Amino acid sequence: MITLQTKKLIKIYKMGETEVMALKGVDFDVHKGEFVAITGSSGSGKSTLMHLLGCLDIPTEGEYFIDNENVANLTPNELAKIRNKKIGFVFQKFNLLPDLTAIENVALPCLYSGMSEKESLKKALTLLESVELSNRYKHYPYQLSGGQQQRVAIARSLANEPSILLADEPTGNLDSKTGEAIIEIIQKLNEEKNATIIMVTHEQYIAKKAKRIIELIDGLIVSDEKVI
Amino acid sequence: MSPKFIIKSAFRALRKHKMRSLLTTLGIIVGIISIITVMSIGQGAKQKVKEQIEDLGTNFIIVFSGTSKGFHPFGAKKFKRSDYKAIVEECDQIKHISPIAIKRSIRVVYNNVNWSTNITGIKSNFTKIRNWPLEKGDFFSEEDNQSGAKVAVIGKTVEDNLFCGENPIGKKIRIKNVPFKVIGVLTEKGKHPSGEDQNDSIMIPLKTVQRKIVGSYNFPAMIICGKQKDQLHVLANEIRGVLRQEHNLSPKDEDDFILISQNDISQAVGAAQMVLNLLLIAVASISLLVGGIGIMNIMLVTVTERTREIGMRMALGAPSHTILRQFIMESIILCFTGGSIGVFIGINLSKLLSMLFGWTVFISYPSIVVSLLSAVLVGLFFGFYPAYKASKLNPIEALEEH
Repeated sequence: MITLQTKKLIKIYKMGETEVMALKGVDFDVHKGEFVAITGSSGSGKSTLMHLLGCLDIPTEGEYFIDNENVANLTPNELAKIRNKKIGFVFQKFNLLPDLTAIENVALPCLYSGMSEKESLKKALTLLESVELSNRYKHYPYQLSGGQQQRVAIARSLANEPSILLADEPTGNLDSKTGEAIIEIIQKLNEEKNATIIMVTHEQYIAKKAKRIIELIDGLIVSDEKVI
Repeated sequence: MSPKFIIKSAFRALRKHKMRSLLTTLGIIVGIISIITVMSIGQGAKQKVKEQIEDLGTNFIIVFSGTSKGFHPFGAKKFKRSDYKAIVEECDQIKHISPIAIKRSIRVVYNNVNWSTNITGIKSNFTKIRNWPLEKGDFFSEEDNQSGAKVAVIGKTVEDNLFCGENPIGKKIRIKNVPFKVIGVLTEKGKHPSGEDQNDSIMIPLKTVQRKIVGSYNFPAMIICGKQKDQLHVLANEIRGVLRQEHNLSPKDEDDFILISQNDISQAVGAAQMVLNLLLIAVASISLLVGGIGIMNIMLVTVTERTREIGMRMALGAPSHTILRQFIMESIILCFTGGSIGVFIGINLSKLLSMLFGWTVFISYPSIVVSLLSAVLVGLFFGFYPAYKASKLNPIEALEEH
């Protein structure tokens, strides 16, 4: 089953008079339960691709399907709905809301989807249990270590049972040991829950933890290989 | 997203910057304090004046002889008995009516004590017209009036100054060398709206005053008590018509008397109050405007500071109207909190002023509701633009903000 499909994705940025073509026609499919790493040096277009895949931006040209729905030409509020329901984000900088406790952070996507506060918090607690942080549910982000914050972020990304989990350099702000642990959690999600995961990273040894690696250079896919 | 959760997180965001929130709301606080205080004092004054007007009697009309040009209430051409009779015959809305004869600053003697006071000649229905009960003794009867009895009912001030604690009932006092028997004492009454001490006067049957003190059957004023409040203006017009006819005035002539009804006084007082209220509204609006600009300024700062947070919320799927609501709610809560503080201080300041200066203050619930409502409206109005700006941020740019 194809979860995600892009067709000739092109993204052009206008910098004053000059136009920069960040993506020059990207085609690929991701099936349900795949764990894909997207790599490339800075300027390769991987961040731009990440934004498009995360529905944070719309492509200049091309089509993008999530669960067979074309989301390339939606309005900002429609995109917000897709992000809420279909995509779970894990960012390099964790991006937890500083004024909310761990459990509230995890519950936020549910709240935005219209779920009641009571139910959202109940669900959030279960998710925190799954990342072994239920004992810290009342802590604020600043009271948690980097690794703990990233685990809260992972729990949050799963709140609305998304079709795709997008991880953007999830270990970038962590020491290697903590980073390993985070990758293990992500791997486990893929293996045990059959979660579809796309991870953007520039580090080869992290990319090799995935099952498939797509490499971008200058806005084009140059290789797409299974990891053996 | 539930409003409860939005309100909760708004409170939390504002608590994070306690000092800044407090300083920001200062303008609103001052504005609301001024609204509450001035309204309390204004309402108190209004209440007091209203009581004084009602204290004069119910549904009353006073007619003075003389014109409004060169006003001589008791010096101009006086009313005749025929004027009085015509009014009594032709106006059926009258409950009570009495001519009044007044002699000011007359020396009254009891034993060796002197007191200078006003003498009012009036009919026996005086207590009914003025709603003015007696403290002791009786008021004179209509027979006393018709026979020109030499009896007097004295006010509290006269009793205090002339009798010094002695019971005045049955005692003889001398007015213009005529002996009068004191038969009653009026209860103490508050000041007249004009500031005059109403207790410093002596009531004597009208006929007696006309014969023994004034020396004329003409009289300078009449006091009338109408049957119905809502018909008072009709009665006033009837009386005006009768008097104009009696005085043979052509339609071109101006009234040669002055007619004042309770409604006129209430209206005049109401108009003065209205001017005061408008002034208050102007002052309060300016301070709320200034306060509101402060709110808008700080909300713009807040939105800039929290751009990344907004980006995160958007990434998690917050639709723009939720972001809009969140920041408007913060602005409203900021203003509402300021408004509440203002109401609290305003109420206590009013009480303090009342204690210090003995003013009547009246803290009305409408003034509190109006204050809080206007604070909320200021929050809504001045919070809208910053919140709108927040809701229109680009999520990518917002997320990349440091």
